[in-house]
Amino acid sequence: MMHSRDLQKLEGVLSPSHLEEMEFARSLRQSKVSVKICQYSYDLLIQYLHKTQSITMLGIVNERINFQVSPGQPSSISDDADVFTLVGSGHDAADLVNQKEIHWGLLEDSLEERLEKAGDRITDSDKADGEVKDGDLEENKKRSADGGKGGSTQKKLKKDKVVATTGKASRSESSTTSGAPRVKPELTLPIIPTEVEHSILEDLRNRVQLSSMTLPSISFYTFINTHNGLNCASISHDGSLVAGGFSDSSLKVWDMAKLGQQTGNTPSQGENELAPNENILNANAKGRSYTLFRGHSGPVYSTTFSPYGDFLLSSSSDSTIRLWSTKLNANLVCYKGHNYPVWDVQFSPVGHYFASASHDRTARIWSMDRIQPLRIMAGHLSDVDCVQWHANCNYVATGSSDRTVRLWDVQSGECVRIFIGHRSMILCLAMSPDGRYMASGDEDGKIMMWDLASGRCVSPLVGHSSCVWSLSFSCEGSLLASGSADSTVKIWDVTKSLKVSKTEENKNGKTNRLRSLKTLPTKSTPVYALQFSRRNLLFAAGALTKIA
Amino acid sequence: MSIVPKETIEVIAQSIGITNLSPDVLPAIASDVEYRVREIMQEAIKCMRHSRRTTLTAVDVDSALGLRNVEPVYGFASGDPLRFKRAAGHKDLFYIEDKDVEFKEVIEAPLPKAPLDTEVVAHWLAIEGVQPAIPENPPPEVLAVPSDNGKTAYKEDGIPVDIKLPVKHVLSRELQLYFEKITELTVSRSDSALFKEALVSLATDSGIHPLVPYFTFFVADEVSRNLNKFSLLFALMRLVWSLLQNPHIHIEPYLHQLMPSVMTCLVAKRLGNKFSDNHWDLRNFTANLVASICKRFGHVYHNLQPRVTRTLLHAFLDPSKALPQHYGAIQGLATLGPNVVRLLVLPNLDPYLRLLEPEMQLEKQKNEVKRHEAWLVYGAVQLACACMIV
Repeated sequence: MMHSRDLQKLEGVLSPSHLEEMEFARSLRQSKVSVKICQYSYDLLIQYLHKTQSITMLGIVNERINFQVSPGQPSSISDDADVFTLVGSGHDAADLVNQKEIHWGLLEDSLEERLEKAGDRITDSDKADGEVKDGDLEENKKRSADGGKGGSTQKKLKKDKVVATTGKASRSESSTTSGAPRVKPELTLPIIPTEVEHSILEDLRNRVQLSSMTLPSISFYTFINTHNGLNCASISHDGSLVAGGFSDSSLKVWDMAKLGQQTGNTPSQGENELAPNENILNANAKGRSYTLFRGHSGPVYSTTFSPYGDFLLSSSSDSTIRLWSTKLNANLVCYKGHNYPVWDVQFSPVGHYFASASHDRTARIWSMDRIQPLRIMAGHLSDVDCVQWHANCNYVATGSSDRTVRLWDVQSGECVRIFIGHRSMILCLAMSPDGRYMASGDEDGKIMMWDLASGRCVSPLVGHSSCVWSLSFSCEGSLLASGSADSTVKIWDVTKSLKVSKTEENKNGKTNRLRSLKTLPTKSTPVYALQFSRRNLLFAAGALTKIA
Repeated sequence: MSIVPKETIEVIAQSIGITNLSPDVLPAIASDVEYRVREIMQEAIKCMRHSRRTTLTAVDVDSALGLRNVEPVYGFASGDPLRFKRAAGHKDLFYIEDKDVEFKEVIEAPLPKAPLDTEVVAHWLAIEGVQPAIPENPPPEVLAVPSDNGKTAYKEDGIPVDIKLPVKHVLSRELQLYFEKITELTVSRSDSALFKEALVSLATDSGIHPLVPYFTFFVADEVSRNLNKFSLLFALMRLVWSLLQNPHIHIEPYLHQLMPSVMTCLVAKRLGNKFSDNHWDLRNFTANLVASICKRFGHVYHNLQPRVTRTLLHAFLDPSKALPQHYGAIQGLATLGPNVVRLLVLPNLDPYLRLLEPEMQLEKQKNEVKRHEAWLVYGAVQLACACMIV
């Protein structure tokens, strides 16, 4: 049944006072529901209502339902995404909003642009190195087949050294990022320190080009012994730090690079008594292998790392957001502005600014140096569940329990796009690196790809059988990775889905379905977080759950 | 329409002492209560989703009550389902059974074990899209294996790395002939000049990379089956040596298959038939081979050398092992370098010599062969110590 959730909600309304209290019922009363119907069925309905003299029914139908009559044969419902909305604002308002102008391009003078300009001048001397690097690649395969757990980050480092032989060649045809228009930033952007800039440029140069032929390698961080206490997980942009927010209000950060090096060091010392099993993490040496951050007074619902890995933000049900420093291991600031639990917090791609989403139906934009929010974005009909920055930091997207995704302008704080199409609560959002598309995942397991310019759904991606907890685009925008509660990671082909949607509908109307490239199951570990590093290595994190 | 019947309200009211409710109040309260419970449940579902779970727990309901500024319900935790018992005398009344617990028992009971601390473990879920068959990943589904000719079967048996269906390995006719010729030479005519030529070719030819998996499987297979054929073993070790010398092939991925066979040739109890075969030479050769492998690949594979030294040390220190095994172990340790000798052999030298002495003397050890072996081992020990001093 399509509207079963809505009907369940309405079942609870048992008296007029409930009707006033419930927001959903109120929004239904304030606007008309639109129903698509074909001419013949519409005629039948009107005839019947007149014949049986059901005046009250006619009155209700005229007052509350907006029929969109289409000539011809009745069409199948399942392919039409618009049918599922009973939403208060209605389609007309959404269409009006969706006609506003947005500039979805990428920032001028970003690091990627500078690299491309520099790259055009350098000749292809790296092709020769390609052969040697292939050897490294096979080495990595073998290493993992041995099951050596300890040196995982060293494996990652080795992998990163592999320069794809097609790297230089494909940059000229290169990705969608070079084709995107450039826009000026609306916010004052922070300055990147030079060493960080150099390391990022190095990463960009060594990036592995992914496509439907070359699938990514996935390094999985499993949390064990969480006793159902892990609420959220987050991975830094280079994959070396993993943060976990727990329901006992603690925040724990593991430095995977250091842990990997420790287990690598112990066997190489020649001792009399060799370590019996190198695979055990060397947790005994220091006491704890993680850094514990205490400060929140409620379960921590979301964490996010700054783009350069030195700051960490966490949001909790005590309605505060706290800023922690990973270098000093201390709490720096506590941001109080919301009055209800803050469900999600995200750093902007350039750092310094962050956005939060809360139960109070607003999303707020903050800067690290002010404890009051800079902007409040109100407009959702229900609590805002997730928030994500656009690649050019001029727009913020929010997903809510009212089943819509909205795009907001950062400078003015107004809503510039409404995306309607999900049938349940939206759990995660991801922006494509070229700024053109957005993906959102909901609790039914459906992922929808949206075109930001038009506000339309490009294609729904069906495949997961349970909530989609996390989405991530690869750095050149050709692959989308999704992690779900059904303990799998799925890789989707983005370029194919876009091409398919441009063709006209087939007879069976199934052009919008997309195939997933790969499904990778895990051992009873729902995937909470996904992050493509700058070198296109996919990091995933999840907690090992006992199968009940 | 409503799930909560008005009798429930009546019973609950009676249980807290209110007995004079008028009958028209009951449906109103019932419908209101139901609305509130549904509201709380919807909030609880939101809290559950944000805690990234799919099963509702008592904690979620408590958070939802907190959101609505209602005091949480105490005394319930998610664990076993609640057990209801029927009240005596009433056919519709149920209650939750509460056991009486003595304070003394609770206080004097031993402390339960503390739960383990949270840890993060990393592993590869996929490498270039392929899921490796390591224990951290779920076991692969049964694949439809193409029951083909021998060559593809070889590939599957020998290299358990990929889960994706084996790529049809198209070997050219020349390569197939080459492989067959070399294996035949190794098995039958390993002392001929042709074999030496073959070894040289293996060490220098650049086009034999596709054959490497087949060679490794061949070596592993033959070593495991033919420990009593000395000449074959020596030939196989020479084959491995040549392969390692070849600068054009990448042998690292297959090291983990070659190492066991090489180590077997070094520290096995009996190589070849007892009297006639000069297995000492084989062990010397193999020791050099092991040393060269460790030198070449040791820095890339951090646990290669420790594993090798551990195996050798076990062979060395175990008094139940035969003397030739000790010999092999000592030779191996000696070729690995003076540091290894100093750290591993020297401290154990005293007890070892005490074990060895009686074997060397004519009075205690009547068996000529064993005495000969003991002297050879002694010589190896001396050599090892000498190279350390130098």
